Amino acid sequence: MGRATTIPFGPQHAAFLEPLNVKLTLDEETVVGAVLNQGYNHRGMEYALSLDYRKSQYLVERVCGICSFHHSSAYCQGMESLYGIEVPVRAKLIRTIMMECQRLTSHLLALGHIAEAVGYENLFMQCFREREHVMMLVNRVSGNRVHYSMNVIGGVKRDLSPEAVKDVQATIRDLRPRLEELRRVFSRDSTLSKRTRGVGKLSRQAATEWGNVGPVSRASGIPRDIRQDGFAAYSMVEFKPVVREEGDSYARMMVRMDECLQAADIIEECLPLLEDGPVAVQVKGHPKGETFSRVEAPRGELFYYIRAKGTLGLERIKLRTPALMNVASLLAMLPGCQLADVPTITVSVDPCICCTDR
Amino acid sequence: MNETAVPDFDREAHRSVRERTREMIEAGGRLIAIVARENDDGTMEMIYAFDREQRMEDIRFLILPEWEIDSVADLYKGALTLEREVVDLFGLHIKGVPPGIFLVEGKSPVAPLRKRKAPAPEGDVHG
Repeated sequence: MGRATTIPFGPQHAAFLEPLNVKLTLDEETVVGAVLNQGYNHRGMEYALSLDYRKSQYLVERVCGICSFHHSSAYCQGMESLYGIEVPVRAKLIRTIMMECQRLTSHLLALGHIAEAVGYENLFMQCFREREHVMMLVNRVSGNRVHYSMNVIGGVKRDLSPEAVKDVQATIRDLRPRLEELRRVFSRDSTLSKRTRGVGKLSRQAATEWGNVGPVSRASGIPRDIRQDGFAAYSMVEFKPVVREEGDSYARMMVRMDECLQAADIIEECLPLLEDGPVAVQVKGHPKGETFSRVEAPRGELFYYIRAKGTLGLERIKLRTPALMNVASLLAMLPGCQLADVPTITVSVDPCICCTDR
Repeated sequence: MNETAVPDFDREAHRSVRERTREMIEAGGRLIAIVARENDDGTMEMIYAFDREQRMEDIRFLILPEWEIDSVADLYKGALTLEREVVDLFGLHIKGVPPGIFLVEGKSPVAPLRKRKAPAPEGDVHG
């Protein structure tokens, strides 16, 4: 081994959308050690969310702009269990449809980001072009592009009109062939393959030990998907977790690509199940008690612990985001890789620092 | 804190956290989160939430904030991040776990999620 060199990778780096610092120790071009420094984006969200549970149903979407609806779904689901109420089926279906729309926007962002990290600018633009169709769709349906503000404790506050249902159907129908074309490029392009296959491997054992969740764990052969628990309307649709065995950056990329097509399937399954009916139930009084709530966000299992004391303030609210677990496992993926592969590997775990730091 | 001022609780329960965590992992459990919560009497409740065969199970115990508890990070690597968060946000002590995952010593608030005592009434300040 030659003289070891230590270099900072981030917190401001072209490969990162948000601030994260990885202190890399190199032996020539090979990474021999890595230390993560995070917290640049810590905003004290758990404290802020505990101040007023009614305002928190909107504030909770501000934890993250990429999985905002999943945050509000997990929060509202938890609060509904404290109230002991059952949300109307139509509201559950609308939540499921919107969650899958957000999975599409999140995964297409991650895929574009990977394409950019390996130097494939054109593919990045194609991913973002398709993503924009879904962004515009959710804008038409909810009135917002990023923070949909549709979830309330007890259901949703905005129904899907018959025109909106047709709009969702048409958009997904038009999107599907373009997603299949993107899949063909991601799966067959030789440059992408050389830059991602065998790069940043994470074994099934390591993924278990590091507590990885979502596409990162499924790309390492762990068939775990919280949607199988049947929250929202997932018990009403049929799907199987997308699982691959390779455990490398390619597998993580392809799991997300296949989950885009799966999201389109789920949305199309949900639409015919929408029947006329209420979309919310009223809740009265302040909640009291303790609950755990989980949803499968685009990056994996999103966990909420809520303890309410019968007042406007919550005694404790704790969020465990999927990115928190996945980002930490970079320490298992980076040693042994080439410096040039560090951007690809870090981006392949889809690091959302807003979620990680909160 | 005066230990006699808090209600009686099992003061040895925290000593079995490693053993109970190991049992849970061997039984196929997956650690999801470590939740710390402060009671009004000054005790801290620690909740280790696990997923076991798609069901939530947890390990709970009470401690006093100045106690040092064992780390489970060598049993489960992903636990280190969760433990560091508890150390930072609640100022608790976990063996071998340094602070600083989110906060910067000397620049950030200390233990920001701990309950603060109400400020003394005006005119009650001496000196």
